[in-house]
Amino acid sequence: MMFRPNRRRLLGLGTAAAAALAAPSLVRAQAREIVVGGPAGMAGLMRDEVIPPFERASGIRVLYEGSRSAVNLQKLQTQKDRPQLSVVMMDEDIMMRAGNEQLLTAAATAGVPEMGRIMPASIARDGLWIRYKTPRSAIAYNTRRVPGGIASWAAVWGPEFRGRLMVPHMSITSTVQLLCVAAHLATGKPFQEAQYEVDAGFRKLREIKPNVLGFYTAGQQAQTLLEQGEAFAVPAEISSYVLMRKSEGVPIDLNTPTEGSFALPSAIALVNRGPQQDGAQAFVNHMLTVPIQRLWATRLFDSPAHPGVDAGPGILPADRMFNMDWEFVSTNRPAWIQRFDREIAA
Amino acid sequence: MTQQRIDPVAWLAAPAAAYFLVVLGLPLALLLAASFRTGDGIGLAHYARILGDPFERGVILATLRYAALVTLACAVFGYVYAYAMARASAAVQALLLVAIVLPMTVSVIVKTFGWTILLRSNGPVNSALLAIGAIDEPLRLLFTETGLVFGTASILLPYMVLPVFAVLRQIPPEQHDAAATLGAAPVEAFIRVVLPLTLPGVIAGVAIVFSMTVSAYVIPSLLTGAGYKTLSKAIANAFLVIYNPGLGAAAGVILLAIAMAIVMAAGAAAARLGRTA
Amino acid sequence: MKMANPFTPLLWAVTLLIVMIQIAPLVVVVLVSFANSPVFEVTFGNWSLRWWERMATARGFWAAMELSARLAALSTAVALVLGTAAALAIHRGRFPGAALLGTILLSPLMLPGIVLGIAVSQMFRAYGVTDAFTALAISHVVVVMPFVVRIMLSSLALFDFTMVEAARTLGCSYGSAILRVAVPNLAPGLVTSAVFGFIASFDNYPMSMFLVDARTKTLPIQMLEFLEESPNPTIAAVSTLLLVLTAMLLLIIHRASGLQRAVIR
Repeated sequence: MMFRPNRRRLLGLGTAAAAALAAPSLVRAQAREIVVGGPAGMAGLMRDEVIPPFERASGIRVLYEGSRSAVNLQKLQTQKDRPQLSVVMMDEDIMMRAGNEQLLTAAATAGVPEMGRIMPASIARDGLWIRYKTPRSAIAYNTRRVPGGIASWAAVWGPEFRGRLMVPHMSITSTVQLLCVAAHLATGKPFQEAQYEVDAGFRKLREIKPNVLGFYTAGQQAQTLLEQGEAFAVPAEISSYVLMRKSEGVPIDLNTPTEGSFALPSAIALVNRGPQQDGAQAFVNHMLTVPIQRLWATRLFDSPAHPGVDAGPGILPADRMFNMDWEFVSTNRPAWIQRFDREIAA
Repeated sequence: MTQQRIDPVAWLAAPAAAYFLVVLGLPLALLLAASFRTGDGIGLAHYARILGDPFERGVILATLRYAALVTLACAVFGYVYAYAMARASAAVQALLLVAIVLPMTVSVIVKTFGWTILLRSNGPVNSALLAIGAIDEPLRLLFTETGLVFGTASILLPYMVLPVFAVLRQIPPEQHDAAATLGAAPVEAFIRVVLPLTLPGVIAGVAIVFSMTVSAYVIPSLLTGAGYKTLSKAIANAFLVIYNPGLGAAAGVILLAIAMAIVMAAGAAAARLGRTA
Repeated sequence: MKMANPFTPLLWAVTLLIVMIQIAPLVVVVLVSFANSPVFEVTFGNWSLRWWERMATARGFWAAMELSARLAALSTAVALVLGTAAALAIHRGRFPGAALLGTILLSPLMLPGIVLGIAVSQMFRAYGVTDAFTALAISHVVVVMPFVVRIMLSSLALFDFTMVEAARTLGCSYGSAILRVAVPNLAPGLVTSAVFGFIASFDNYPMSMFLVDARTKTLPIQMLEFLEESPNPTIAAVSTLLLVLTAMLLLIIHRASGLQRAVIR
């Protein structure tokens, strides 16, 4: 196994040399490649199953760069004038920021025909970014520690979770949903209205503190504690992590709270002035086709954007999850992060 | 004999200085410039915001307290360890060396995961304490300041042990024994002879450990999450999630200025101590 | 005529405790790498090699390992030369600002890696450096240098330079005097600098995060990618492999020249 990459590289070199000898035009064709920036957690699936069929069909090589959304945004900002990335995949609230800074360019059905077939609600700002899948956000819990499951969001405020919750810091996107839940529990208003009741949300969030084992900023730390059972639950985790791990035999599950689940859309967009625009459009299109959309449901347990894909049991369609006002979130989150540091995680 | 005002040896610093000027100087200049750039022009608003806010000042103090505690712990235990190594037989010395070098090759994330298993409520440490009756219910060891200082000190300990050990080995053992033979009690001989001679190693270790702690990001993020505020985490947040690079740059400049001042002052104080001892 | 030292038992008790604290998490990690469970957990009596297989076949793992080793070796070599020369100058030169220069050369350690990474990546953009390995190598030298300068300064403080003069009066050329007298005496410092420097580069995450690209990925970045995909024991297998490699390296040094002479003196 040790020589595997070397052999692959040798093979690659051999093919490249043969191609160069055969015809110069082939070299140019070979050189067509695009760089796609996206979440590190999806790197395996992207490289093994999503990218190879695209490369075979289009002849365009795809390099996948896995980073946190915040780091991808930082790279886009640094490379503003001469981007290396052609396509970027990030959380919706970070996409919004990139859009506002003119770092993205809109896709249209002319270059991305599948846009005409996916659910219209998946297309944001006239194609500036597309919600290619929607993970569901709810409470992750250890099934050995909480065998009966968790019925509602309100339950994690209860005494049986004292010192046993790993709660995400406000810098992690799902925390804004916990804030909305807190506001809902404090005011009794539905999520749609509660999401704007920020003060009530912070007041209620303060009451969860005795139950907190730790406020985490590194997701893996919280996930490990949850899987080992030291933490009983993580309020606000997403389906792609929880249900994928459950399918691997890890004793965790994602609840379906009576108050409702949240949507945490994964978005994809074309980079403004990015290289190989037509290749980039073809790749975005590929991400929306039925076979790839089916992968999101069967492998990541996220809700697909294509109505032609039967998501299967246990996966809520995106319109049955509550999708927050990301414009409002994106504008206010910096202030919320500072407030969270002072009032909750202090 | 050549009498020059500046020893020509000084020119040996030129390549390193030039390298730093190009590779570090420019980024730092960009950072400094960004720290003065406010929403509507140029000014000290970011600095005023950080230094004028009791919460932010608290974060600075917490960072310094954290760094001081870790440095102190490392200095005391690292010195003891290095001293034991220096006095051990060749075989034991090799084993002690391996025990301090091996942990450095395991990434902080993985080591933290290992500690988590040891320190959790039903882990071996709590079980042992319960079994011997030292405690009645499991201690909470994760996500506490004690855990943070303990964890950081244990991760950075090699950075104190090896510099101290390197200078301890340069002291001829006769010098140590000579003092004892001349009648000084062992402890007195140690304080009067060995300690001053090894001071350069201690200064090196202190400077390295202090600098690494004050700027640590991964370690406190893993050990205390968001519970314990450090300047380094605030800076990362400013750049990556609050989208206020000016604020982050200003905090970075403040951190660098304080850390450099402390390291220089400590170095100067130790040098004076070394001369008078 | 040695006197019994009442502190000796205490000294050894504390040392033993430190050894236990240093080794305990490593034992856990090694055990976890053989766990027959998808969770990062010790599973007593239920072992498997599946995470070792997963590591060996994981895409990009060996490439990342090789890249990080190359990067660390290169940046450590450059920093050793530049840093030792600078330490010599600061120690012997007695020029104005020597202490300040010493602190400046230490300063990369005091800056959070994220700040350094963002600032350096912007600079490379400005200089037009687009090759990720070049960018990584150039900036890793900055991270390695503080260790070299600080440790060599302390080693030089105890080095008796009259020994070099003595060797020269005995007929050695300046070069061979340095090689025969200075290098062996400074060897502990040089080796310690190299070890710290190599690890600083090999384990660097926060700065490299902004400099890597899809083609050029260092081991810490690759490991975090594994972890983000699934927090399973694969990383425990990677760490155990690194432990074994390090132990073998130490053994080879020990055999080749005697650990005492090479690492210790």
